[in-house]
Amino acid sequence: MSSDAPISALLDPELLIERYGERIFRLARRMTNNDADAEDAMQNTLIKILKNAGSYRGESDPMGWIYRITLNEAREIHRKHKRRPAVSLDSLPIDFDESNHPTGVHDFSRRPDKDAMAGEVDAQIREAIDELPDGYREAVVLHDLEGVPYAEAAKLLDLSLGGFKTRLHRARLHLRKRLDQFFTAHDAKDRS
Amino acid sequence: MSDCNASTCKRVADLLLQFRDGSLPAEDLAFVREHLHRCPPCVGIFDSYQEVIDVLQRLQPVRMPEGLMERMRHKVAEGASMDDEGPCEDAEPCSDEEPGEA
Repeated sequence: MSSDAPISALLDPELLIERYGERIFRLARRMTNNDADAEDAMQNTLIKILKNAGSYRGESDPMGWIYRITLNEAREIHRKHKRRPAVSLDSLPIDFDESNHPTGVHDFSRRPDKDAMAGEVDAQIREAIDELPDGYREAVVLHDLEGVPYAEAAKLLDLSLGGFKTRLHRARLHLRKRLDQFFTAHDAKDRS
Repeated sequence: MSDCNASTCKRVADLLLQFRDGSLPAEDLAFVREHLHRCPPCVGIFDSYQEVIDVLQRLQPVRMPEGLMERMRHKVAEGASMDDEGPCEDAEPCSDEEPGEA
């Protein structure tokens, strides 16, 4: 999240959009999975930054503060326009069979057709991210998509490092399960 | 797979993130490695877990909609002129120390 931009850029709409606009939109777009919602979140974020920049007393690099506002705005809009019910991740998203082994495990990492199916896989993974509960979606977006390191992402979400890793792990396991189900259904369709 | 049961597999599944990023203590690392030698379903989970991370890293970058920045300049100018009441009541704290929730 490093940036060489001075905080004065937060006070000037032109500079704010020029220096931070793309990153704000990208994060909002990842969070909402929708261009129109991301634009609304971006607009709200920019206005909020401009209104409050005068009293900003944070670190010299304001990117964390900007990310935090963007996350809050994107979360609110995603909740309002929610297109999919959130899944529950209170327990590990892995099933076990009667003999106590993980069941339904499809190791799709070795499929010879996985590159040819990349477009469908991308669509599936975006849908699966969209149905994650807010905090889990934020963990995946920040760390796996935006490349924010564990400690910084945990701080942004007000979590301990361990708490952040638990969320990220369960979110990834849910995405794994969704792709597993997708490939299983794809193969069943091919056989029929 | 004599030691492979739900509680063992579940414990291994819980540790996969740290196993992958190399942050497991030595004792847990040995436990996970040993288990993966004996339990093909858990290997399948680990390999496909890794694949999910690869897919996430390969996802197409976000494309900026045409004219977005120009629209934002207008919208922000409109928003600022329509509301001159000062800082929002529900605004995020102006410090990195106390994050706000929506």
